[in-house]
Amino acid sequence: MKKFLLKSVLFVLIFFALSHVRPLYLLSKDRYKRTVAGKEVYYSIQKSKQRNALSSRVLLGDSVAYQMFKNTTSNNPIYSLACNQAVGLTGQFVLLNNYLKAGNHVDAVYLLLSPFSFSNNLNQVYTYQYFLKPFYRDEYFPLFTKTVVQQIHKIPYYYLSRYPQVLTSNWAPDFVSRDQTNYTFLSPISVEYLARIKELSIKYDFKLIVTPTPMSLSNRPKIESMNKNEVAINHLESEFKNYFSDILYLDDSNFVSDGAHLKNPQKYAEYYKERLLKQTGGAPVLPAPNATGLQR
Amino acid sequence: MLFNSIAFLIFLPIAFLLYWFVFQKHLKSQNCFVLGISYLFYGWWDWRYLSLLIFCSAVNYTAGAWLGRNVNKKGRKSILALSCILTLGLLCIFKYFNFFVDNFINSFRSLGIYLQPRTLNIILPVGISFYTFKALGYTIDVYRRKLKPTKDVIAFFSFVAFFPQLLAGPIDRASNLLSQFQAKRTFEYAKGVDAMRQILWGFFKKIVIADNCAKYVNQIFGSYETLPASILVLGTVYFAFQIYGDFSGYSDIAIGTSRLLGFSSTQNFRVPYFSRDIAEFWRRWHISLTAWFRDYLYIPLGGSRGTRYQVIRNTFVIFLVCGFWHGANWTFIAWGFINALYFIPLLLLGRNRQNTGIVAEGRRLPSMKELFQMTVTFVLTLLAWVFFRAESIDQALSYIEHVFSRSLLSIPKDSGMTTVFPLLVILIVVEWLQREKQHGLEDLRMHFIPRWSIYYGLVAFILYFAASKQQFIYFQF
Repeated sequence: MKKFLLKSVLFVLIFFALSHVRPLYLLSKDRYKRTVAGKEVYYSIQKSKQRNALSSRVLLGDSVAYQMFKNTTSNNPIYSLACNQAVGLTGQFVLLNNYLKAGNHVDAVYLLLSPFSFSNNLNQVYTYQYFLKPFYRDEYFPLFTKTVVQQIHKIPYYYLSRYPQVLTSNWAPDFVSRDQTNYTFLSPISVEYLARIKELSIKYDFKLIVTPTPMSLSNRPKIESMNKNEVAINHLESEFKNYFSDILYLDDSNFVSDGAHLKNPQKYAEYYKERLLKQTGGAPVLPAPNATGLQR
Repeated sequence: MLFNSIAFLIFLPIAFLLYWFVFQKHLKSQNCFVLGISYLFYGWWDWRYLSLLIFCSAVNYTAGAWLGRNVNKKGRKSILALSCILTLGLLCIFKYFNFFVDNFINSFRSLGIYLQPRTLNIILPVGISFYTFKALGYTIDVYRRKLKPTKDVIAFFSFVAFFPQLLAGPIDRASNLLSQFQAKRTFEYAKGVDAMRQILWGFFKKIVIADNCAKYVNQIFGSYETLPASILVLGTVYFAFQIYGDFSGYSDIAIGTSRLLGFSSTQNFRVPYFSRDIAEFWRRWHISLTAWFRDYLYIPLGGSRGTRYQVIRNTFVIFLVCGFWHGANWTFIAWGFINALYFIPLLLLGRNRQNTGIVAEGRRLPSMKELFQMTVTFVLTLLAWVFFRAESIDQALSYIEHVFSRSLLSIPKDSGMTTVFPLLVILIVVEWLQREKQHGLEDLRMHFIPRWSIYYGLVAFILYFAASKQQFIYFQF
């Protein structure tokens, strides 16, 4: 038994040492940020910390917004920090906060999100990969509310998210939230961080526009049954003023099999850009591109 | 608790150390500890279902005890019948109830009578098919007087709930495993090392082979109507390796874990894809289940003795029941039916025991004839696997129809699906070289450095691919 245990311990120790070589190398060069799932989030974080003199209009958003306004390409005059809905409103707030702290001047912030993105309470399958790994860092802890911290602590192995092996790989634990997830529209965390984003808009004097991504027709009944009273209850009327009436409903054939992502995002990118700019006093809106079953 | 989870990675070393350093003094304490950790292991998933496991153990323990006391033939039969009804009843309610209700309603619907469906909203308790068969096997053996009933309640409950085998077998017999619970286990270095190797090989098969194949299998079976036939063929090949890697991988981890605790378990797979005919395949695939059906169903029905009609009937019965055991769906029954069709010609021609030894014994490579036989057998199993994997019979038939289309000979566009090939080559080569051994890493006679390099290489593969974790397929059975 002694020999067995000694050999086992030796094996584990050597393995432990060897297994850290690659992650530490990837960490030292920040290369993992280019290869792991959720690389667009890392790119948005990096971009949010840069000085930008070219544009004063910032776009935050989910993966559909990212499809139309990739954060890796120029979307002038809009500066895109769009990445993924899985970062939650907390992640969007952190990105905006970074951008403002970097000394950038902002006139307008567009929050381009699907109605379903607001129900994210950092309790999703992808929360570990897209929120915990990029954002569970010392520098962001002061930005987390008590609700966020409590929610993080419900995620299994949340403390391992900063461990080199985990951080540089795509590993994430199975996570099925036991919370009540059928929020009618706004999750508690979304409410808190919409208020915080609103506070920033007052403090830094910029216009905040919450606007919807294109949605499939089959989702229309679900969206229409959402509890819109939550907007008034949380004093967000001005931000959500035209949110629901502005939803562009497209036939399901315009979406990939998940029913959420666009098959041809470029087709709508220009239209949405004009639409966003119009809301902040830009050029007039172009007619919507020919899409199958387009409805307003 | 899943074998491929962090929880198990923490659980196993702690259980191992406590077992050998704290509870090793007395047999009773060893067994009590095994029982405790087995219930913890099972309850980790859902503690409420522990009651079923305890009920099943209690029924069969009591039946065994009564059978030991009762000499009256009629009385013994009644006890056995009661035990079968209660144990299989459990299985029927939790696994087959909704299937029977649905089919009952559908048959009335075809007559124009519409009934309101009332199905039970229940989850299939993991491992129920395995532990019910294990417990029932004990009662039948006691009834047949092949085994003396045990009076050691802890040993019996530990035997039924033994955690390495609890969720997906092997379905070890009481004559093998229960007797080991009645003697104190001692640690042997060589067995311990080999157990670790077997666990490592099992993880490789599950995480590297099965889970990688699963990604593509799900894609291909999910949109087979739009894919060229050559990709569909690839899908069936991948599924064949997925299910093999998944289930034999689980068995290797289970057997290895049992051996770490000083138990020897039945071998469950013996390189089935190197079989030269279907009969040989079934002697090498899920051995513990096949043996269970053979001893407790096929032989009592008359086996291969009797008239041609009886032999054919018995073969169909065993394969159809075996198919149905895998799941409450007509696809599994069809899978069993196809295998029976493959098997019957061999049986009628008296060639079902033609290939009992290992292929190319004592040689490095197979002969052309053996290679041809292995290929034909593999292709036949592929056809049957389509039914096993499909959601419905219609889907399986449609899938096969799409396979035999003009695009069969087209070269598929490389959409990353061929990245699994090198991994499959590693599996096939290792299994071929080790085909006479119990598992892929048994008896590695080489210098310490290359040996440990192989171990580290395999661990690196496992960790690299562990990100896309999939559940073990056989849990649903």
